[in-house]
Amino acid sequence: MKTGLPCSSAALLHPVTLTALALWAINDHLLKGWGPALLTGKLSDVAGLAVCPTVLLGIAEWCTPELLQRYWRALLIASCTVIGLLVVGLELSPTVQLAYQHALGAAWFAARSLVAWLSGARAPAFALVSTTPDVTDLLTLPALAIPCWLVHHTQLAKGSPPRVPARI
Amino acid sequence: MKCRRALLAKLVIGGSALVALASSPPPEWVAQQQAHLHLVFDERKERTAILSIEVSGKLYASAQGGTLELFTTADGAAGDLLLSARPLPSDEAVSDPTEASQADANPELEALAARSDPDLSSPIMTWLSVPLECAQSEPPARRPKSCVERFEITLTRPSQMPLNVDLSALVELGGPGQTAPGTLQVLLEESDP
Repeated sequence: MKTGLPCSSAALLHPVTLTALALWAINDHLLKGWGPALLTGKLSDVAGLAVCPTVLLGIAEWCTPELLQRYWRALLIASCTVIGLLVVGLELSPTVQLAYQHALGAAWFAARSLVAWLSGARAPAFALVSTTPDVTDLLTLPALAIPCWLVHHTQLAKGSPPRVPARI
Repeated sequence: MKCRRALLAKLVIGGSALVALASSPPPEWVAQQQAHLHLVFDERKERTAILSIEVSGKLYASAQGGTLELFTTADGAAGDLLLSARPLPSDEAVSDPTEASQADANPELEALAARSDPDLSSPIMTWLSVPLECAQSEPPARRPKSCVERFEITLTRPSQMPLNVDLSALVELGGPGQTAPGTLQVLLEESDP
């Protein structure tokens, strides 16, 4: 099995992705509470939308490298669509919100349980993570154009095989 | 070189997952309030209670999630006991049971129900969890000073055997940072004793 990420690594290591990831982390852990809530909230969403589709594409390539090399455009669109639909669901659907709260709550519970087990502390209680639905967050959806452009740009710069003209 | 790029790309994937996880932490503080009610099933097959939850102050302003958990325990066989909870609009009077079908037509006020555990050895026979709108409907910055949420809780059972049921309501609110001062009041009373 191939373990490299030849197709998506350029986009994952692109300065735009790395800057967005750093902004996401800095914004959530330092700027929130200091800056205006409107700005810090939207900045998180834009940074997340810029990073997540590329990461999803990287995971897809990690699992099925041949598929991604052959259908990278389709998988790029699928990644952006999945992330976009997730954001829409989180803002508009209580069912999606609850599923998200349970999924991340389970991940936190597993991580905290592991830390508690290693340190000999008491097992933590399971708690759902909280979400703050805000319909205006949907205005950040155009940020999905960033990973689309980025992957497209890095693929073309790398020199993807030229398209064969369709035979009429 | 390629191998190093692939490793760095995987590190970026892992780092992104950690950032995504860390940006949605579970609540660091949890405020709890309980209320209890003793219900007697004699000849009637249905008992109704009204639960009022009022939350205000910084506790409300910083709450990012909350749930209402309902438990019933009975003193005898109660395999047919049905527990349901229906959110009431703040200005709605207690509904007549005959209006239930009309109320259920509104998806916003859909009732949640749980049937009792057929395992009669279980001390907690019925359990129902309902998310609290107070802590979820508005972003914290836009919230008013207080929030009141009311539920109509109905217990029904087809059989006519006398039964004593203890109904417990546990309200939990959680949020980030330090515990915030404020009021969390829970009132549970039978609507038609």
